[in-house]
Amino acid sequence: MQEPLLAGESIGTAAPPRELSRRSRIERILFVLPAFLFHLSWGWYPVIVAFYLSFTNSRLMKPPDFVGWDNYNRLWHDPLVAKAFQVTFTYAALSIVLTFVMPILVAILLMEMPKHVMRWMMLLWFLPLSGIASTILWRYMYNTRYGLLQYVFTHLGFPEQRFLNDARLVLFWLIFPGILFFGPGLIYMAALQSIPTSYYEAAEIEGASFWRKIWTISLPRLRPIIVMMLTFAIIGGLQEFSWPQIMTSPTGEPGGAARTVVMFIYQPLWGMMRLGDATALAVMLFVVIMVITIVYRTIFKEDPDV
Amino acid sequence: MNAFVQGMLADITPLISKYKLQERCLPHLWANWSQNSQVDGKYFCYPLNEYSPDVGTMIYRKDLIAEKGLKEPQVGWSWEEAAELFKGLTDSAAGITGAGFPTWFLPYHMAFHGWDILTQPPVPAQPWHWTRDITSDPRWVELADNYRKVLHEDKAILSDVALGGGDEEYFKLFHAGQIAVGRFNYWSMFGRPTEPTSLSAMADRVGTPYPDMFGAVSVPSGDGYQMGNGVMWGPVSYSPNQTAEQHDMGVSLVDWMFFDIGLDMTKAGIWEVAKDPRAVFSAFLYMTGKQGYEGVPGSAVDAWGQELVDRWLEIGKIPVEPQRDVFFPAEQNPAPSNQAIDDQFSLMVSDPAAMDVAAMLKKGEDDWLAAVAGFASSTSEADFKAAAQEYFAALDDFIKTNYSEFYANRFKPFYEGKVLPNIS
Repeated sequence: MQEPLLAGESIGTAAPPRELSRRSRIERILFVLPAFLFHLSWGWYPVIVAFYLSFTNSRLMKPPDFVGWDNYNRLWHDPLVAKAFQVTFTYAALSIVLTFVMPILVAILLMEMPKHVMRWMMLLWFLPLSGIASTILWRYMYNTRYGLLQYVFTHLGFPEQRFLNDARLVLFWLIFPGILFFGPGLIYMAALQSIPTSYYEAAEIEGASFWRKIWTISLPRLRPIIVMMLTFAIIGGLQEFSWPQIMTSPTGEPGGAARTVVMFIYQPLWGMMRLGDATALAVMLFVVIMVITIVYRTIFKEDPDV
Repeated sequence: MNAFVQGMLADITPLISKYKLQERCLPHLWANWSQNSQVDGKYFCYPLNEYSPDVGTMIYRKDLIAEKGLKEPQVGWSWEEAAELFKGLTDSAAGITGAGFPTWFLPYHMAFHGWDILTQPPVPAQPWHWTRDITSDPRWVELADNYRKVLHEDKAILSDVALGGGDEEYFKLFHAGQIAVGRFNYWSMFGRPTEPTSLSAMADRVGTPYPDMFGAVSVPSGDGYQMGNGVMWGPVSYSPNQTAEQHDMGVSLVDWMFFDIGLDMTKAGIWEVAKDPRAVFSAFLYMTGKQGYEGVPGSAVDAWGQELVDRWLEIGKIPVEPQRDVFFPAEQNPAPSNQAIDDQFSLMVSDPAAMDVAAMLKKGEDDWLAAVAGFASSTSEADFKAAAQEYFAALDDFIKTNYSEFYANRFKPFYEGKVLPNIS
């Protein structure tokens, strides 16, 4: 129920803040408390403990001993760690370039179609598929002797491909299936549907072409969503594990060309029970991601009017 | 070893004596198990009786070998004989590749030429007491080049990253008749015989008696050496948080189930349900050497044929070389991985293009040495030297006794040139 105006207030002016009653304050705190405690115990506490453990020779059933910067020093001098970061950055960049733009374009183009076509296309393109099951299927498709893709390539007249066995192209082949998944497009479509049609009508009256309307209306209105999704894409790309792990065996073959930092944390570090080293590398990755995210969010603000 | 260092395992040494385990096992299997199951002179697990000569076995299509008039492999065969067999079995028109191995098979193949021994000289004076010396011996380049030739030029070996790092996908190819030789174990050969994915089902489908269709052999040896790292078993360990009485109860149960009347009851139960000797004798290699069971007619020979049973028993008798972990104190500090070197092997297997194998091995070695600079052993220099003297003396004696050709040509120069000067 709308509260009546107080003396001195008028429509169009902001009401002065009111003092919350004690009960109201307690109620608000109690509502937030479960989520806060959950986040503290399952989010921040493990992070704080990880920071601590990264300075120890952490062991599962024995108390850890403080070792100072030994773990970090060891990782710093390991050429494979540098290589894992290189692979991770390359994977993230390639993933964003190849798979980030496509859902935006698809969503924009789908909006131009008749409603019944749009619904069918959405159904086909946005089918929820199990990520792991898809990954395993794609692994079979990449088989160089018996895989479907080799069959298609050779019957189209192309030379035999090495797919996941090619150290130069393995990251591309890992990302390739993602180009065909338009899942994030649903979010863009929801944002596009919220843009008033009067904006486009006005642009048409002014003589704007299709692409001009996209550039001056659709993309600026999508900017907050794009900025947010790009943040998730950057973080997700830098934390990638499951796809390369399943497709290229536990060690990121061939020759570590697909071994991301998280894969390196899992194998060989965690696999050899080098828990202190694994935690230290996780902390290093955390710091890198945090720096990149802060820089990115400083440069790219969500508000299109800024 | 890792589980012990992490403090996860209870010391059950007194129970090994109490249940007279050594007296009940065949001597060569007891020697094998006790070598692989001790840390710092203590036992941290109890075996489940059943074993598999897992490190270094292959299963092959005997019928295809006979069909092509090729020579059937024997235990102790060489890599040269294996390469000829793989090439002879490859039939691209029929869609058959001679052999299929995961991409990590190349370093594994090198190990059967003494790689694990000859490329790791001890250096007690350094913080990490082991180093890697790969590039001073041209034999490793030669072996890698030979393997790549069979893989990429002859196309007689199938290796694909997309098939994963385990045996499962290669076993499916073997089952489908697309590869004729694979690196599988005894459980792959005899396990779950009533299931459609088993080799028994494959033999039934083809209509060929099982012993005529499949054979087993050790991984090809090299330079007169056969790596004998032991056999696989499924040991049981116990929590250090339990009491001695609880450990005793746990060991007593395992012993009754797998070494005593429990085993007979299990086999009799399987026979009662399946009435198929293959189901009963899907496991027939036991540390105690037990072959017959109360209430069960026949033996493994009735299920699989005398030749196959004898072959697996023969493989199980490959001498086990002295294990490093038995002689040296358990390493409490983090240890370096061999990933840098394995990465180079992975590239050699994945890329058919001509490459400078020597330069790649050098890179692997350099990367490993760069990484190892950050490691320090928990064992003192003096303790390490003492353990190294004992270990290498045992290894010297073992190799001299069992592999004289390898000893004279490969091990002795290494031992006298790179080991003794450092540990004397």
